[in-house]
Amino acid sequence: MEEPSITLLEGFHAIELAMEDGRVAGLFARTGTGSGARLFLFVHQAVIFATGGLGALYAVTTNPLESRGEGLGMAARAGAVIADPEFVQFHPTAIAIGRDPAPLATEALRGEGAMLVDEKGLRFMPAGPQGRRACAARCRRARDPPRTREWTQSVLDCREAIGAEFPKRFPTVYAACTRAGIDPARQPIPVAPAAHYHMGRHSPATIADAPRSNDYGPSRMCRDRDCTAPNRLASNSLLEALVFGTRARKTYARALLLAQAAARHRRPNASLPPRRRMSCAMP
Amino acid sequence: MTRLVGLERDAAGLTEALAVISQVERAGGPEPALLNMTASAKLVRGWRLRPPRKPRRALPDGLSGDRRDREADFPDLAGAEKTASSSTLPLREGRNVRA
Repeated sequence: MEEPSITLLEGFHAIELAMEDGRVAGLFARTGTGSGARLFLFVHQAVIFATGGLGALYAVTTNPLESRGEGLGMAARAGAVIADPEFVQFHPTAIAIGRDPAPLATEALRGEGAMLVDEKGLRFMPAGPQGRRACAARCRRARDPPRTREWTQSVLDCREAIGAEFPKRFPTVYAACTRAGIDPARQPIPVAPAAHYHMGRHSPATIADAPRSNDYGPSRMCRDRDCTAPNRLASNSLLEALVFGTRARKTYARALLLAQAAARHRRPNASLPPRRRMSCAMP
Repeated sequence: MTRLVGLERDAAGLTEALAVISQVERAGGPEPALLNMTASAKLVRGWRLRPPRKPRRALPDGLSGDRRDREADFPDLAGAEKTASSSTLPLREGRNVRA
């Protein structure tokens, strides 16, 4: 954030897109709460959404509390169409110790042979060749266990597979457990499925069908290239942040150049209408 | 809200969750931040009630090649609410779970 062309404003809570003739024309944001709240309007030709997911809408999540789907909801309320909103990835082994967000017990533990079992010690997933089924995909793991029986507390038993090596090989998980008074080398780790990643995004039609709006989101561009599909793979987030963040920047810059050119030549521009009849429903 | 709108995976649970979302929305009044959250929750829950499907596929230029698919796969908020209020479709086998 040391780029001189970027001004970082902290402490603002974006709450609503400002619309003008059906297009995004800026953003309403506020500071403070209650009677001390102040409302601001940032007028601009383009808005990039980098607002995170919606995991915090769920009872158990690995996402930070701020990931409440506000960016997605803001765009939807402004009329954007949303692609694949129901594709929510649940991680099967969040550590169920009452923390919010829930710490993650990485799937690498199961890769090392840790077993997901119920409170009676019965495995949720039958053993397969070389233990492959114990390492089933996240979405499948999260939805399969309770299918044939009542949901019970599940635990991840690492005692035999990892044991005393735990602190050395998985220090982050070990630290999370010990903070809750659990020694994963000697005790099973209580786990629960948790909302982990949201694949939903704004539709490219929002841009393609101009002049509907001017909002851009790196994640949308990523997923429109089928990088994610219904179940995200590990490290795809890096693609979103780097590769498609760059693409979003270029698209954004192009939109601004078009706006400047239209202003210079003083001619009507179908994709960038003059700013009038500003409207936004505010309380 | 998070307790009641948690990991509900059968059609009855999803419908109940949507009702709770609406209650929360009405109780909260015209608070934009809350409306943003409930809008997202409605989209997820409303579209979860639809029949299972594959993700929408995009052509290299980023546009869907089939308008019908595009319309079907790109829900807006009103569409989510309509789907949620009218759907009686069962979910696919293996997701008949409430946790």
